[in-house]
Amino acid sequence: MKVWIKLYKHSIIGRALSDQTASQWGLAVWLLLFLGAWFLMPLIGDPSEFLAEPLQSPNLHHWFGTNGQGQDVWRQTVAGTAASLGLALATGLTMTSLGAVIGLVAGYSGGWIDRVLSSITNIALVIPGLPLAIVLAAFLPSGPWTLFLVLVITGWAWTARVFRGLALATRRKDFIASAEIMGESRLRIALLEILPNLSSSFASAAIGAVIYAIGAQVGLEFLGLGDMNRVSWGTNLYWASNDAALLTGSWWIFIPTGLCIALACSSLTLVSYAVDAVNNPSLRADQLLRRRLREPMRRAIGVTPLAKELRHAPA
Amino acid sequence: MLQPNLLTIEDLSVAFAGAGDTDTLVLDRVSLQLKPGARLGLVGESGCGKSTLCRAIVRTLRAPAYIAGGEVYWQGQSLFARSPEALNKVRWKEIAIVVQSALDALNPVLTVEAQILDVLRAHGRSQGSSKRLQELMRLVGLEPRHLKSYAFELSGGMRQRVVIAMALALEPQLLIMDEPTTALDVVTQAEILGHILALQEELGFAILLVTHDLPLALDFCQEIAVMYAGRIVEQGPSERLVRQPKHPYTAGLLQCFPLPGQKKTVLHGVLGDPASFAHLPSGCPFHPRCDRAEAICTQERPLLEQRGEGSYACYRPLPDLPQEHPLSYGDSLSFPTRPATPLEEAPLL
Ligand SMILES: Nc1ncnc2c1ncn2[C@@H]1O[C@H](COP(=O)(O)OP(=O)(O)OP(=O)(O)O)[C@@H](O)[C@H]1O
Ligand SMILES: [Mg+2]
Repeated sequence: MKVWIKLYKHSIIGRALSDQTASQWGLAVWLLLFLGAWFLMPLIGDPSEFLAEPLQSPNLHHWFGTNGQGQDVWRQTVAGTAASLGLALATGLTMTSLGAVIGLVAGYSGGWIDRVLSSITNIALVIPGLPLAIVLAAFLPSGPWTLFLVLVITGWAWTARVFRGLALATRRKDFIASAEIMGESRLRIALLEILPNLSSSFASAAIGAVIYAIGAQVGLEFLGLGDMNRVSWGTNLYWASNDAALLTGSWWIFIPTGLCIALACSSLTLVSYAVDAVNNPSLRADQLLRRRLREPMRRAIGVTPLAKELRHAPA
Repeated sequence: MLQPNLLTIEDLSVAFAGAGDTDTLVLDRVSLQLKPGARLGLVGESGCGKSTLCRAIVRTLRAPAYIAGGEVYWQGQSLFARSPEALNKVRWKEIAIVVQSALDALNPVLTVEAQILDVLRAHGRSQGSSKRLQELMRLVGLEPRHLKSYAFELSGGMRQRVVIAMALALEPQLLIMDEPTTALDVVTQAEILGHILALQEELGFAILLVTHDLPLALDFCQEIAVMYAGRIVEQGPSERLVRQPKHPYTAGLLQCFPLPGQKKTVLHGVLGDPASFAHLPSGCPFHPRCDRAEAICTQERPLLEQRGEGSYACYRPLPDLPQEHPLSYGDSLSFPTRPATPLEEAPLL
């Protein structure tokens, strides 16, 4: 156990989170949602089973009530969380990796490779994402893989753009020059020399991508463009709206799923604060001081605070 | 003596907030006075807090720094009592700072002209600016055609001069220069400082020159403040300081450089490592490196006290040296003014 704690404290994540309480909470909540859902999945039984009278409000037998088809909302929420978060994570990471590799190669290689890759990136950027996703999702056979593909295709370009810029900036550093002199290949330099230096940028891009993937996925499924037989956050909400849950006042059908989505997205946002502090260490110094200020909201920018403006100043 | 001070720093302390309550005090009760038109040199080892002091005066230190105590009076009025807007009026217009990383202080995407204009415009002095710009360039010895240049097209010394021109653009009453010439060769250094000196005679502003080059400061400034580990340990007229250093640290610094006209001696320098702010020794922070330290030096911190010509913070000051000590520093200012003296005639700095 001690060894694990030590390992965690020295890992990138541990160091990033060390003094960021909000981010620690965010990560804890997100892990609880994700791991909890996958852990409970085999225990709760089939979420699509029609097992009781429809539209029961929460009671002892069905903690979260039942939906319009007599399915258990608790089971549906757990299964939906597991499916949606899993897919969002896979989609977000793939999207970011693809974008990062394309951006790095473009920015680092320069020349015609950059021209070609940049043009593709720019074209992908100007095509509006959600409409394209809707069209693609409508054409392809519905299912999680379609969602995955659609989101990756519409979402990689931003990351590519950002990483191309980062690669251009990093490329001029001396350690890259020395790698070039040593005769390393360009791909190797891009992936093994530049990418690790951009790991925290990658992390913040990935967090953004996962949040985007959650939203877009739920949106597409809510519009009926997913596999409606699969249980996920989006289909839960789709069926809730289909069964006119709002009109009948059956709030228990959509509140749990909605709450899970909100929790998942906001906890990830909290985690991203810690990543920002790694990207920009002076942010951490700033936080440190801000916590001590009496009136942090009234702080003047670019004016060093006086001791009397702090809550406690050592003698 | 009756002339009022332009700038008075009283017991100024600056600390950096750390995680928990582990703040490090980087400036500890620093006091300085500057009269209009005076030249004060601030010298000390790297990391002793010189830049921190410069930026604390106008409160531009970034987080996690905070001002832990003390006051700064500008023309008799407290700077720390001012609102941020009122403080902004003083910054640059009355007190200009040439920051240490002057080379990074220029915006890479703007021309020199645009940047100086920016300064003028921000303080509402944009009319008649083109003539003023030409004049500024001439003041720092640059050709006016460089107004159209970008920072990357200029050499290090030229960029430095541009920053100095920007600092002079609003005719400040106090020019703070944080190691303005450290990155430059001695010839360029002498030339730039010569320009500034000539300008000062013309315009009458005061100068606070920060450097770790003691001979340069002795030559350029009428008065020197020596800093060690965030405290002023000795202050006095250059002439007195070089003849009769009182604090062992000052003496050590003087030992680091050969003095012109001095008999051949072995240079000792200051032994030991600079004090670390995290583990400051008790008592006088210099005592671990001091060969004159006694029991009291390890226990109590000596305070800066006015004694004769200047002041020093030491329990065991050096005795007065015999008067015939043959030194030539502080006798005359030996900076070439425009046009630059030919190399072989340029005096050594
Ligand atoms: N953000 C910070 N947190 C903690 N300590 C800091 C911070 N910034 C600076 N310091 C410390 O403050 C001290 C003074 O720094 P300062 O830049 O004033 O030195 P200096 O005398 O100007 O040195 P140099 O001659 O190298 O320019 C240094 O020892 C540095 O370690
Ligand atoms: Mg400095």
